[in-house]
Amino acid sequence: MIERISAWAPLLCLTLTFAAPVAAAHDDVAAGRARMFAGGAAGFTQAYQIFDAALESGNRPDDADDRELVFLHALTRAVVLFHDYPDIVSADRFIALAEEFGVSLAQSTLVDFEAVLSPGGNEDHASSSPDADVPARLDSVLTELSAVVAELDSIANAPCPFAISFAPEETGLAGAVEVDYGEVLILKGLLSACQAELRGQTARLLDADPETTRWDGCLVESFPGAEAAKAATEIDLLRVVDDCLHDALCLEPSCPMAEVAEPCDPNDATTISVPAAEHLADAITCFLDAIDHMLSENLPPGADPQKDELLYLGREARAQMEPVQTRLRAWRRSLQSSMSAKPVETLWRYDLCDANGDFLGELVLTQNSLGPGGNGGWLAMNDGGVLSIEWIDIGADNTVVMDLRGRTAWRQAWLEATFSTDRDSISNGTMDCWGQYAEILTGVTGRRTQNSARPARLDADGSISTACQQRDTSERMCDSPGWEPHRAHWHGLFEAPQPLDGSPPCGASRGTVAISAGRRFADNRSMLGTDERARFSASYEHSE
Amino acid sequence: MDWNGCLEGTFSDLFSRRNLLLLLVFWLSSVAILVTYGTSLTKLTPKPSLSSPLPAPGENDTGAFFACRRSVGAGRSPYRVEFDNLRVADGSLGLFRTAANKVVQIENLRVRFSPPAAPDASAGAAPALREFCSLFAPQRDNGIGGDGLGLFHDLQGPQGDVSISVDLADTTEVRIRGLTWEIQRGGATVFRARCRDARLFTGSTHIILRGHVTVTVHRSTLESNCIELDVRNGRIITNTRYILTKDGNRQFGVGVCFDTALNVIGTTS
Repeated sequence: MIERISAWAPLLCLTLTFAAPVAAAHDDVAAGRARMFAGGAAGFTQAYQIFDAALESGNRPDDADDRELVFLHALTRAVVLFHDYPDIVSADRFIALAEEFGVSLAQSTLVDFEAVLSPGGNEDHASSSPDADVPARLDSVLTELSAVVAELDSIANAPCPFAISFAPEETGLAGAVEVDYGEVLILKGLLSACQAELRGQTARLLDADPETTRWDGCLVESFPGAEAAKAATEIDLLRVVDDCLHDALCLEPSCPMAEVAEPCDPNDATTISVPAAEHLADAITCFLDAIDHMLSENLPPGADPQKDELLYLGREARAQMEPVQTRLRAWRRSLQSSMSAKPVETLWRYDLCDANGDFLGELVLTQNSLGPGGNGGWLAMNDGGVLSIEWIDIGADNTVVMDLRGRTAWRQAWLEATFSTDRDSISNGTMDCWGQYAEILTGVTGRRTQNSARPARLDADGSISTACQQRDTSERMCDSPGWEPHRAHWHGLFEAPQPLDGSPPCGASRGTVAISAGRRFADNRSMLGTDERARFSASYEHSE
Repeated sequence: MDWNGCLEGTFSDLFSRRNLLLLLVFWLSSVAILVTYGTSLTKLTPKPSLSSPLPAPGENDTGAFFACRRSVGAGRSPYRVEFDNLRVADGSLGLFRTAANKVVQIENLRVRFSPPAAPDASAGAAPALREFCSLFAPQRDNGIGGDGLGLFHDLQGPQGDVSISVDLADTTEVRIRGLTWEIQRGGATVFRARCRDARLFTGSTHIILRGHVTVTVHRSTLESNCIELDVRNGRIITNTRYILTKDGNRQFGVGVCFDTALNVIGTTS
């Protein structure tokens, strides 16, 4: 979840960075806006300086423009922050997060994102130096983030609703785009999430025993100087918090809170530092407030049409908000009441049948905060074969398509179907099986049988892994060199991979694996860079 | 007893219900003949043609669409395009939607290019990849927003007047659900790609095909669940498992890069 919240920062900013000239600016706000849309990091930096000077001068406009000025100042300040500290809040990480977030517009946006946040674009900035002191830079970023959040906190939605309209001449889009209080809340929430992540990094840096701490499978011997900077760029310090939050969000609404809040076995639980937990709770509060705000918009229908808004809730999403809100509230209560949490993975199970009603197999979908299937799953066929979900896409109209790949032999399939609104049933399914077992099944249906919540496992190095992830990893290890990462910043332990038919055994029965790039990221970028593969290789080790 | 009556007609009787009906039928027939004739003429001219006036089932849907372009510029291939529907919707950011970009979804796209005999056979299907991309990838304007599909730009202009009723501005992604893409040369199919799902993005020269993808070039067929077409470099890439059938021989593998004639040119590792 934090990845998703974090991904909003660049996305929110980048959706506004459409390169297009603007007419002459008439005041500070207009001048700053013009620079924002001029494109690139330099434009944002100049815009930030203009807004900053306007705020410093005390020559502030009326209340309405004042809120606009404050918002734009905070927005540009955040972007400049990301640009100036690429090793602390790395552009690559955010690009991967955006891909994991499943942002379709990101394909074009990310090109601009890379240009804006590329470290090479700011080589003269002292903070980019790899030799600089990591804790000090972390502290600087945290201070800045706190200031930005405080600015956003000062923006009220009264006495008149807060709204900024960006004209097509500014954005280069076909129509005007409106930013309102919902976006303010989301930006505030994601920056709070960033704070939590950085607090986690700080805590881990302070607490870590350099002799024994394992970061992404690489033993870090010491922290001073350049090594510290290198370590800070490689480690994903909030992964534990991240996975924990993510999995807890997957709880069923009816799942007793004790599942989350009860004191856990140290082997099953992980501890979130208090400051990080507080920031996470703040982030969730902002996210919930943003959802509430967006749900209250356009009521009665037609009062405030949403089609021109930078962000809005579509009709289909409105119907799905309640369980999401419930999960968010549950996790916030857990964060506020206890610093211990037991990660839980929720599995949605469906019995699939063919057109004749004959049992085909059990489809198991793991769930993220958006619903089932968010993290893949598998299909256990009635003949014993298991197909893992390599890619899944659930459309706004409840259509679902999934790429299924067998763990044995050359058995592959593609399943298209339609979910019922409550996700309880599957209909109109077509399953195109090919390879060793070629056939096309039509009229495939499914009925949800149960949900099961199982504890995820805490690995020896402190990261979370789940059964599903282990299955995937086992297969992927054997798939090398056609290996693809499963999800962003996944880290886990695999055990006893099964030999594939016709394939050589993996040569190891245990190992750790760290994956630093999202699947969508890899898919869209054709293949991983050599450095990514190198990291993968480096983090794999035999431990038989 | 049967009664057959005939009243003397008057001028006002011309406007009787029956006569008006006959007049309407006659008029409609004339219009139908003219339309049919006009359509035939259109097919004989280089203009793009439609099987029927474009329906507009909804604000964001086109309904079924068919067009062919027989005369194109130098270096390009005549083509015909057919799909069941095109729908445009706001892009999504997780739970939220955004007005900042749009996603176009095309249902059951059938497209066939008919290039003249290739002067250079070694070019393989590379030009066809570029032509497909130029028609269906969202076009990029000055900003990050897209500006519709090249197809509809191509069907407009002095030689054509095909337009659709939906607004494609700011499109940044095209999703095709069900694709059959062929290249015919001299009446023979020299290239065919089929898949369940294809995606093209603004600013990208890569086409991602998913769902029992089959790519057939002459007598070779590549099958995989995910194939990426690198249009710029004329490469066909599969990062996952594949089956390559050449002259009846099946090869299995993982992660290979092919040229557009399906010759292996490297691995993806």
